[in-house]
Amino acid sequence: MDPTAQQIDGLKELINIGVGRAASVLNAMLSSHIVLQVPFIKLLQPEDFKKEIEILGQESLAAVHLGFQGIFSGSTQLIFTMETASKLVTILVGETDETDDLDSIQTGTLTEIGNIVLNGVMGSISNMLGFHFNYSVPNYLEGSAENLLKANLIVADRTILLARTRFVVEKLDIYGDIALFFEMTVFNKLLEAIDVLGNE
Amino acid sequence: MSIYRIAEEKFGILDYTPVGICVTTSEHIVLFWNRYLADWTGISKSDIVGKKLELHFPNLSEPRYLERLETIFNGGPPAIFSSQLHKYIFSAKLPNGEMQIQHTTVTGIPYGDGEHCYALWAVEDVTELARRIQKFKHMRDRVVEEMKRSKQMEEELLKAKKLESIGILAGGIAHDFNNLLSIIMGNIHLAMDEDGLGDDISEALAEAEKASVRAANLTKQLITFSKGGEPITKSCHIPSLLTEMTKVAVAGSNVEYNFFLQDDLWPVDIDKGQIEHVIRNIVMNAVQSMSEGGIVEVRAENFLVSSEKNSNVLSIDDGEYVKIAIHDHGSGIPKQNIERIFDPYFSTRERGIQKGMGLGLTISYSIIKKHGGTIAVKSKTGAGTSVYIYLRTGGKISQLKTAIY
Repeated sequence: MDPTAQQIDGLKELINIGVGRAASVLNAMLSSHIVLQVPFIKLLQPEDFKKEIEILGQESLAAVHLGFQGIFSGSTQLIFTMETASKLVTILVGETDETDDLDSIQTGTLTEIGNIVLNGVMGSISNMLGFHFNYSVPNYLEGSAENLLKANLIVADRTILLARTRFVVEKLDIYGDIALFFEMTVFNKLLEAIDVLGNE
Repeated sequence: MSIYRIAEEKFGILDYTPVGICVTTSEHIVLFWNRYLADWTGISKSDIVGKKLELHFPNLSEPRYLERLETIFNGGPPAIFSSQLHKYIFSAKLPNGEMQIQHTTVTGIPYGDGEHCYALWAVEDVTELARRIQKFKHMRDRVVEEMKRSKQMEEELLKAKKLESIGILAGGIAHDFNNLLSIIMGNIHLAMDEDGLGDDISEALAEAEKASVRAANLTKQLITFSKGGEPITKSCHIPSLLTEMTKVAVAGSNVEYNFFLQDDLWPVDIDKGQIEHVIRNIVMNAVQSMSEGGIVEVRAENFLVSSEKNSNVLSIDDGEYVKIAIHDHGSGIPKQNIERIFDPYFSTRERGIQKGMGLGLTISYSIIKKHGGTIAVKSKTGAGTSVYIYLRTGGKISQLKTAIY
């Protein structure tokens, strides 16, 4: 089922609501004001998603992963290049250290940021679908794009919702990607729910 | 059996995990409190079980925590409270009086109908990890700083060697050339004294004399630059020298000047003539970089250089200096040229006796180095250039100041 333009708009709004909630949580915690925006979303099949992330080249990626189980299972990841992840953490905690690497303490910080963003998005989606999920504890992953996403891409019958997320903090624009990995049937349910909401 | 007794039976095994564990209801009533948390916080199980967490930890009643915890009790994803953004959730004092640094994860545990959740708080003590990372970073910064310093010193040494060999060559040629010039000028004067010279010949001889005078000045500069130009120093107050030389250098141009000179500047040990030459030369460069006019700023302040705090990045001896800064708002020097500006015969200006020989900054560098000081340049294309000169006072360190220019 190919989503209509209206459904895409609905999905984008859904993600924006979740990301907006995440921004308000982050702003209550941080000294720097942060704005989160979703300039675009894309719906991709695993093969297209691979191409999309190939743009990131051989760079090492940093990701926060949140798995969920329930009436259907899937996972979601917030993905950054190592360089942007390091920049984001450094700015948010007010450090001056400028390496393209994250130490164990900093990975904890990125995990919390990812936790907040992904919780916002998942909260928005589960409210919309009216489903209850059990979540795994968010964890930090690091590696090449292929290694990081391999497990999610071997299942052919998957739809991947890629939401580019813009973190605007202290005159700096940092982009990360929220990737939601759904089974096709589940994704269709999500689209149906968006249709219902649109018709209300 | 009470709910607390059930919780103790259910979670009691968690007393043996090396992590602080606590289980609470959605009203934040403590059902279970493990030994590690009791040890860390000094609050025993009996003191906290059955009570609200906020009674002991009022920080948890802040909206930034409440909002995130609420979603957990409604079946939402776990919440992570990292050590950099929160330092700690349960305040726990270490034996040295510092606070324990914690990384906390709060997960929902469904109970009853599965619609509601308890919260399982898992607290990791990351104090030692944070301390080690901090120590590592400090060490890494020191190594980077040391490498930077050593690279700078290597470059300085290379530059000094290069200048020394050029200096020997230039000095030798300059002396011989000067002797020849004396003969040429002497003969020009003899010829000029002859009667009955036509206008054309007189004019040609006058031109030859002018060129010889310029050549003589150039040889003087070369001699200064060479080994022969060792400074003969005397203790001197620099403010009048700075104002006089700046006024001379801007005379006849559309450039103005501003002075910011510290009132009680230390006297410096200098060869007055040589330092006058340096200041004049640098201010003239500033004037030439502002062809549309502008302001040259001349600043001077007392400055202490010390490596005690690893802050001496200037490759000069520790001690008391007068720091002179000459700023212009001219065209600036492109990044690729900055490294080369002290090289002999490097000039971005048109070549020629009148236009510039590319020796001005080389000679200035040589003079300042022979004085035991240093000279550094910062520039941004289109924004201007700042030249910093550090001149020794011969004084001793009486206080510390970071030597960053």
